[in-house]
Amino acid sequence: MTDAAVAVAGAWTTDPSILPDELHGAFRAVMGWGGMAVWDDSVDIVDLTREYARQTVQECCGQCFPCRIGMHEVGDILEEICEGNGTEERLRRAHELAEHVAEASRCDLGRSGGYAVLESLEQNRAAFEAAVAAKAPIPRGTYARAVVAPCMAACPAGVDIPAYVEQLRIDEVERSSEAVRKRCPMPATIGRVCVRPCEDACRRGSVDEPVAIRTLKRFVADSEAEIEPRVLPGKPRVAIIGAGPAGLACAYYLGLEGVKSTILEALPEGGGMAAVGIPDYRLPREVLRAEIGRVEALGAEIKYNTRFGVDVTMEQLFEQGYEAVFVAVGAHQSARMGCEGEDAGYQGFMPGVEFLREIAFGNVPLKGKTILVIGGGNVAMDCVRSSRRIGFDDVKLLYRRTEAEMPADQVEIVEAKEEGVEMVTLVAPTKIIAEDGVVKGLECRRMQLGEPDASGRRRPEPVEGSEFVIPCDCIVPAIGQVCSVDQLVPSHIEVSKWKTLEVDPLTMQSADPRVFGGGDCYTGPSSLVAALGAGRRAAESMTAFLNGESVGPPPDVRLEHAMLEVVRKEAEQPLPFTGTTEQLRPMVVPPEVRIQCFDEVEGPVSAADARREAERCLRCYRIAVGVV
Amino acid sequence: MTDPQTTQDAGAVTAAPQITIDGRVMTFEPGQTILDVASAGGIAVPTLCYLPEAGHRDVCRLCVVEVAGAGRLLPACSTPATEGMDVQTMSDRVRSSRRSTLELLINSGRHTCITCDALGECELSRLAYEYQVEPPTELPAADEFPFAEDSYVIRDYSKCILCGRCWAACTAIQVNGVVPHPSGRRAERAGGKDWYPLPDLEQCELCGQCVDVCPVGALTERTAKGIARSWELQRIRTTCAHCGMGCQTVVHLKDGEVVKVTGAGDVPPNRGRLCKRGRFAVLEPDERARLEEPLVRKDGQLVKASWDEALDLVAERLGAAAPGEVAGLIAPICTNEEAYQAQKFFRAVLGTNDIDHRAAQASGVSLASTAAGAGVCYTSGALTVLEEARAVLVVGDGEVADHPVAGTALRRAVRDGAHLMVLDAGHSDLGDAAAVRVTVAAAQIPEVLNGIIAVLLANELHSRREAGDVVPHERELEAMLAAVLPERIAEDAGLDAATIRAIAAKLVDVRPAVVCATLGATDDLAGTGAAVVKLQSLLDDLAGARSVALPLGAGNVQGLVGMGVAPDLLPGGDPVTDADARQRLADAWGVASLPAEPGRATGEILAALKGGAVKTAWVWANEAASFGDAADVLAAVDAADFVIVQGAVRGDLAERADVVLPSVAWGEEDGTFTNAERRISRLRRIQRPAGAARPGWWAFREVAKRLGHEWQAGYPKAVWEDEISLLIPSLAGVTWAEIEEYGLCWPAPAPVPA
Repeated sequence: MTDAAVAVAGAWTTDPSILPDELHGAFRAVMGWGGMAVWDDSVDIVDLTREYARQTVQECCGQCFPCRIGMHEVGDILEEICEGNGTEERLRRAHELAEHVAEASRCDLGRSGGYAVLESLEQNRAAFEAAVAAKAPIPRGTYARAVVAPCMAACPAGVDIPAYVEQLRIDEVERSSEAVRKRCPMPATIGRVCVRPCEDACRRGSVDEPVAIRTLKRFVADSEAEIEPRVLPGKPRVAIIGAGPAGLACAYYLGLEGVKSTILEALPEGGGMAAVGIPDYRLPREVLRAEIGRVEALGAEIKYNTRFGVDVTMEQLFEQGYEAVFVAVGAHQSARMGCEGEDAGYQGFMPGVEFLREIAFGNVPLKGKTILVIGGGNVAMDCVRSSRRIGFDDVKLLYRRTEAEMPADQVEIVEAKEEGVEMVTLVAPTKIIAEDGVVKGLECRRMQLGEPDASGRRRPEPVEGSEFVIPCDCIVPAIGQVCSVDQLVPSHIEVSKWKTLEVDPLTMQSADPRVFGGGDCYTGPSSLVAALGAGRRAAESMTAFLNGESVGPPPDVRLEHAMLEVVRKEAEQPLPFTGTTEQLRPMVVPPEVRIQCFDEVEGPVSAADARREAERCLRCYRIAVGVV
Repeated sequence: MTDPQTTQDAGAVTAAPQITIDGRVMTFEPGQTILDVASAGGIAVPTLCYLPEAGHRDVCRLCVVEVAGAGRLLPACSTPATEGMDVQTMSDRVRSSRRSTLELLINSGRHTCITCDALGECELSRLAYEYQVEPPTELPAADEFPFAEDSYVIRDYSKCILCGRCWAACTAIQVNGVVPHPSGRRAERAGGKDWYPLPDLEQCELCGQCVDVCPVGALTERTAKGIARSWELQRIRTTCAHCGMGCQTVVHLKDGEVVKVTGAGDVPPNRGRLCKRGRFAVLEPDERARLEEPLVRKDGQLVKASWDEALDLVAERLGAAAPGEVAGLIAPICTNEEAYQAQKFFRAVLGTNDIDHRAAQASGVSLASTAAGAGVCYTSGALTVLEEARAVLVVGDGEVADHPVAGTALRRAVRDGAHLMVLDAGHSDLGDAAAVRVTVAAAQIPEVLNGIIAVLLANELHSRREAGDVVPHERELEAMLAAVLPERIAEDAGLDAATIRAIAAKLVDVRPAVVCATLGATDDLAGTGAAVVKLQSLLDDLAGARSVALPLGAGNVQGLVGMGVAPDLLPGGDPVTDADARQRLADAWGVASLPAEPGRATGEILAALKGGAVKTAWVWANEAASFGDAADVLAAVDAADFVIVQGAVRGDLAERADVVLPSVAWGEEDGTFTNAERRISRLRRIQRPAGAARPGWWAFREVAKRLGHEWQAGYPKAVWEDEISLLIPSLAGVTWAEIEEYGLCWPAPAPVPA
């Protein structure tokens, strides 16, 4: 933390650097589960503690007795003190109760809440005693509050995961869906194909296995009823470029706010990469279409086959009366391998993104017996598994490191191998071998792992003179995508050197206040769930912009953003027991059956299974309060 | 003790994991919680929310224990036992935490024990006493809490501790889902006021399960309010006879008056669960007039008479009748002992088999023909299997309300993920919950069942052939099956053959699978009844013994069948045509022989009464509707020369009687009851009979005596132990003492080989 902090108390004293700089400046003081940081000595710590207790009481779920009743009384006592009616005896009682709540509560909300109040009472004993003695009301400060958890911190969309899991546990599937939809407008999609960083962060994982958060989300989504379409009055006020996850999320949350939008989509199909980048066996098209239908039902109109920059320009959109534009064009260009012959236009060569898009439209873009896919991410897995399904008998995946370093989801790697995909690791392509313009093979070079690079993974280094040729009919590079947003937006919109949009990470607003952006075209190729988060944030700021309000995020959002960062940086706290439970795993179609077609591989789970899985959640909630 | 699970493991003997609780080393099985291990070892850990049968736990935090190295206290109810764990359940730290929690609870509601009906049973007050928590000096105002009262239950949430048990009971045990979960962010729940789990009373079935599980005085029986302290209550365990479930209940009495009824704990078949009828009906005043004295028709009027007068008259008329001129109709309102004496009277004293219990329309087919070769009627099985079922085929239009506790067992199975399939004629109230529903005309139900059977047989034939087995008459079999395969039926009934095939597949692939016939579905014995029995025996063969069919009858139907209140069956299920069985009984009953020809079934009895062949009717029932269309039954009774009506209330039959014999009602006599799964349970006397009412077994014994037959057994236990259980081989001499707690499924299962 910065030197400016005048008081740092609690566990955060041992590592104050955990508190991000953005807190300072936005807040005069912060109190959280790990202690307290004060940058302005005019902050009243007694009132801050009172507010912290009050927020904990408000968040209380009403279940375990110590937090429900005990914390409530702590809150009452602190209110009494701040009203000038405190007594020594009641202050001692607050101490006693805070300790009890910290020790006996069911979840981290009560435990960390009780602990934080107890810490403050002890560290600031003199201030509390003085407040009791003064018998004078203390003026109330203005506060922001944030409720966070490790899984929420890992989720780029910030979904309140413990909330929806809890509702499933108690048989309230509809309420669970409401909790999901607050921040995830495409739960049926995300419930199937999310890269689920939340599960990596799930503290249950340190006990036995993480909660099957994604599977539970799919269960919730599959249980949802359809909604009635509605007609929003007036003209559409926002134009959204791209009907991918970011654009759809933006339209969805705008729709909830009653703001009509028009989505311009270059392709004849909505969903962006979710439609043309993710094969149907992972995400059935009808599931995605139903989610898009829901966005439309909220009042968004999608114009297909409309290319931004070709059919319509940004200026024309403003001329047509749109008041704001959200740019979410994605990243659809394949990255180059840096291999000889990749630009020669050989027959049998096709970039992965294009290959998947053709398959998504029902075409068979490549034919032959042997296909090589280069890459180790999820797109590469989608390419090899799709290749099996369009008739390639010999499918090889070439990766320059080892399987352990592959960024793809472990399940994808396992299922690809089950389907007969051969993993050729520690090789890098050097030259495409072609005869008469037709691919005949790929010259590769052996690699070995050297020192770790910036990503922490060991850097692959070529083994000199190890070149060899793998004969093949087709080659599909899938080593990533790049953005080319510079070709689409007017020159006054800033673009980074990676040709991504430059926008504010919290408001998604660009240098042109009317123009917002998000999704892959801002982050570079990223996850679906990150795009949903960007779409929602953009919708919030655009709503404020359209209402003539300040677009800057409200204090609660700022605090949440900072505190999620704290959670991510915090060392994992060990749990005091070891579990014996296993994660719920949905049934999958056997490999020999599933490679025959593009039908969904993963099956649904039953309500009973979902409920049992939900019981495994530890509810690692924690609260922070910031003095504005 | 060796754990069979671990010793089986390729001979590798793994030592059972150990945990130390309060200094005692205990072994445990993986998956057990600290609470499980402690309880098994006799160490009491307090809980207020724990309801394991509903999977409910981890709310109250009273079960916290100290685990060495854990830092904070851990809830014993939900912390898995781990190898080497060192647990203290009674350390100062633990006691202090529990005391603090109790103090908070006591102070957060109106725990006014002086007038509280739960006192003595209240788990909170017991713990408050144990931990010496002082009551608060000030109480919160009563109007801060919701309050609701109906004719059965008082819901006073000023005493509610929000433990969630009522929610768990309603959601996971009864699967009614009308009690909201007491939770949600305080900010969104009116500062916590909306946490109180006030049920949706419009939807509430009033099963009262929530009252049973409430640990405090928030939910209490209205009927008991201000009447009796828990320690003043006399508690008698008995069997509810409202439907064929035979639920085990505890009747609570104060000074001989019933105050309330509760479930009898974790015993089959209902495992503590009751329905509205079982819990509250006995507390409702019966609008119908009780028959309290014998009546004899004099000058066209029924007038009071002494028992001797009435019995003499009955004996006189019956003694003068020729064999075949008297017939009996016995409704399933009697005990097994009474039923046994009734048929003994007809067979041994009157020399006729003209006795039946069924409705006229159900009596067209002999009971013996549906015995499925098992030597007994109907099919046997355990109701508990319903809950464990992973696939259930419910046949017929009967409703959950006909057998609410069986219905909730089904709903529980479905909630736990069972695949529910319904085959009905459009009126099943389980239809909405079903994964697959096939609705056809009632007459087509047996065809669909036969289609399922054909699919199973055809598959079996196919796999035998694949395995190279020689199947005799294979072609003929195939041709026969082809005629009833679903594709054929589907064409006629406008159904999807694939659906029928899918049902067949589930029944063998998913185990255990249950075929459940609802009330009335098997009345058509030749059709649905026979098809259900056939399907069941086939499933037993193909998918193992866990497949059961449950023809859910009303009242003590199974008892009447078992005791031989049927024209073609002797007690124990032997056909009357079986000479050896007849002779054995004749010898025991002190007569030379018993009639060998099957007697008249209900329909035939009614016809014979109208036609004049049968002149005297002995009807034991309260209402004519017990035997079918009431008007038709009454017309037959009117045609008789002499009518004896035995019953507890003055219904439509008594009005037409020449002699009325007042019989005891439920709870006025000891005996046994046989439920739908043929579990024999004890009915106990909880009250004195009304007026001069006497048990049915006594009336038959008295008339028999007047006709020269001295029957030894002079009380129900003797009827059972000296006669029934000795004469029915499959009962193997079982005594009342042996069925005291859990009852016994008849026939007694063969001992499991070691």
